[in-house]
Amino acid sequence: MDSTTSELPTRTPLRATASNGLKIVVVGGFGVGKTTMVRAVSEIRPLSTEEVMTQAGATVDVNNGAYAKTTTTVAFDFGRISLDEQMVLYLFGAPGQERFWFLWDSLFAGTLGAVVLVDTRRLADSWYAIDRLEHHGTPFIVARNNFEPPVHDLSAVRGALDLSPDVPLIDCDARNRDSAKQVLITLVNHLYALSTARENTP
Amino acid sequence: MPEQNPLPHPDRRKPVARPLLAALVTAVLVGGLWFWVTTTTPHDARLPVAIAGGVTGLLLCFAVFLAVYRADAVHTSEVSVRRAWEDTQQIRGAAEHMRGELARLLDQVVPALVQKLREASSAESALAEIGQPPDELHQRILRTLATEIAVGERRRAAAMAACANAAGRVQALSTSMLADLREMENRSSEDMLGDLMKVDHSTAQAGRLADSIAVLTGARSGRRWTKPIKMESILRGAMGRIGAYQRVRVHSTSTTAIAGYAAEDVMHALAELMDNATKFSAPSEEVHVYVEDLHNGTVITIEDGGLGMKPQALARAELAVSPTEPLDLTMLSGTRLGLAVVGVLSRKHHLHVFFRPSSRGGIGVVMRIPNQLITQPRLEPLPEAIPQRRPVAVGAPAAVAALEAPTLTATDSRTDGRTDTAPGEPLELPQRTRGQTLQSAQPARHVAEPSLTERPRGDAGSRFGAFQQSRTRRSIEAVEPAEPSWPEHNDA
Amino acid sequence: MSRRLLDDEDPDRLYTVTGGRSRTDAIALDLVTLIVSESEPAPGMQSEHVRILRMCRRPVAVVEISAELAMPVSVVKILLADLLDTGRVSARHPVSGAAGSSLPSGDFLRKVLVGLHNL
Repeated sequence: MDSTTSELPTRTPLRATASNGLKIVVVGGFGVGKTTMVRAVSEIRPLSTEEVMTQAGATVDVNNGAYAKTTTTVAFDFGRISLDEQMVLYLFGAPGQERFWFLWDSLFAGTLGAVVLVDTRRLADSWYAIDRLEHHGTPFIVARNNFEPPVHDLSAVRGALDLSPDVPLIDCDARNRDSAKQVLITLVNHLYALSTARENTP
Repeated sequence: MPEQNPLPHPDRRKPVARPLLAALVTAVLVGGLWFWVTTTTPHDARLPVAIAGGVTGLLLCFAVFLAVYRADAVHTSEVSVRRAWEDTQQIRGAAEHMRGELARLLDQVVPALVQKLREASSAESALAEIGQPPDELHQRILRTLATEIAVGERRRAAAMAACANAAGRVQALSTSMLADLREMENRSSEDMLGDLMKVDHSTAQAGRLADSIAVLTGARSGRRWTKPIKMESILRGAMGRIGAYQRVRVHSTSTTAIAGYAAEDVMHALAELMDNATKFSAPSEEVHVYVEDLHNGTVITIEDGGLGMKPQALARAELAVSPTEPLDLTMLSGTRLGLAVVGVLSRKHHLHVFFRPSSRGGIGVVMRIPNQLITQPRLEPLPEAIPQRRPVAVGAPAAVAALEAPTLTATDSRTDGRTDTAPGEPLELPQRTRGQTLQSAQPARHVAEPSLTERPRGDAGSRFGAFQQSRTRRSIEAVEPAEPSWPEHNDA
Repeated sequence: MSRRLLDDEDPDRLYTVTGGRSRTDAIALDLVTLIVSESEPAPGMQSEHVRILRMCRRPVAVVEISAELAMPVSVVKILLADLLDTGRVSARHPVSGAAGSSLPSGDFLRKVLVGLHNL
């Protein structure tokens, strides 16, 4: 846990007027920084299972000796942003790998859009997520998370990912609140552009 | 018996000696008198007198002989009668002695021997410890007995130990399975949850059976709770281990908890009683559980609407849960272990269990849990002000149980948000081809095998996913155990 | 790595919490549907209902309730369906402002943008 997160309360109550929950999904491979990003902008400490990856389990008292189990669990985590008196945005960090395909339908139902977080050291981890989003027509942007100065420029990444030209691709630092905020704004701007384009098309 | 009559009578060898002597003395006396009479009698009368006197004398002598002879004979038989009586007394004494010895053998020596053997002494050392009886036959009896009992005891102890050991293993297995299942349930989709719950329920019941065998074989309970368990959880914990838990209705406002060390046993005992109540009432009937906190403990009443118990069955049931009667394994009937288990657990924790007619028509079983097992539950943090609660699984439509996937642990939990352990950025970026990853992933779902992405072998996430996929095509058949008909309570 | 001991576990199996139900189709609840209590807990209620009623004095999303109770969303939905049926809670369903299409309206998205900029 870094210091910024421990300052966040796990649960602060929402405004009594809160009435509309919105969803944005941050999707990416393991270790790409999903949780970090959710944590950076969330007003609550993200509730997550990724911190409890290995559990020394139930010690069972049976005749002689104890039984201990080790369980590794992976799930999504989420954070929360109160946008105004009514709207509350929930950010879900979801593993992007193909083996978690069954998460998608329920998690992505009703979502505004998605942020694909990529790490150029493990770019292929994002392929399945991008394929899936393209396939379902879910609006998304791609954000490259840079914990270190990147080697490749964004156009090389765009080329490697074979992104369609209208999909925004930006750099970000998932640890940084403003940077994470900018990623969300980029996504909503993209949605706005898509929406107005559709509204203008009869 | 010659050895008891060693001295022969001297008179017996010459039974006629004394009469002859008497006759001789008579003859001398009578002869002298006859001679005197004959010589003093005048001549003319001398002959007849001599003849008559002689004959009389002879007769007299003979009579004396006979008399003495008869008298002797009477005397002799009197003696032998007395001797025979003495012999009898002696034999009776010996028999009494033997009887005493035998009684001591049976009442003291044999129980002591059995006790020693039950305490796992060997036949030899047990015999040595109790000391040898003086009689050689008794020694032989004891030796045979000791050998036979020792073999029987060893056999019994080995069988019990094997059962206890096996039960312990099943307990450990079911406990870990229950923990795993809960993890999977926490992360399952709605479609999966029902199936997982079914397996969970079966596992809980199997665990209870293992617990029962452990209890009856004298092994320890399967689990120790390290915190007090609140009454609601005690009752649900009990319900979860029986088949027809959905027929059980709980009416409780109790806010107490059971001390951790006793919680498992109380749950187990309640589960057995609830199981009986559901089994011995019609499948359409509900079983009602009432909880009352009283000054001398918490009273839990389980009422069914069955046919009740006949006096004989009631007597057996009461004996099984009696606070004083120890467990008698010979009373077990294979399929009906419930009340015997309740009995053992009740005696262990001083639970008081008794039966009474139920207002619902069947049986009301009452369990009083003594105050020393009652405590208060740990305070749960108020939801409004939770300080840094343990992050929890969110579960649900979107989650994964990736069991035993250590590589995932290593990469994700350590490197998420950090760069130090990750590989450096490659100079050549890999090139994606649109749709290919998705497409190549599709067949993998049908064959339930990992596809091309670098996935650890045996990764449970993919297995889990594949399982989900397969179950959409072929729903898991519900394995419902045949509901037994509902005889009267005759569990004992 | 964190050690989880028996201390964190409870003997309640999930099927005893839901009375054997594994899903509810009666009410559609999204992960971000906001739940608000309409009454106080009553004695004899199951503890999860009590906790939900206390927690939801201010609106709480389904997914947060799930995290708080450490129970799967499906189970939480069943518990919520019970409370919704008896009117003890109400649900505020998400409205994305999408008119017929999958995309929200421009007006709606402008509000979202304003909210994000104000962070």
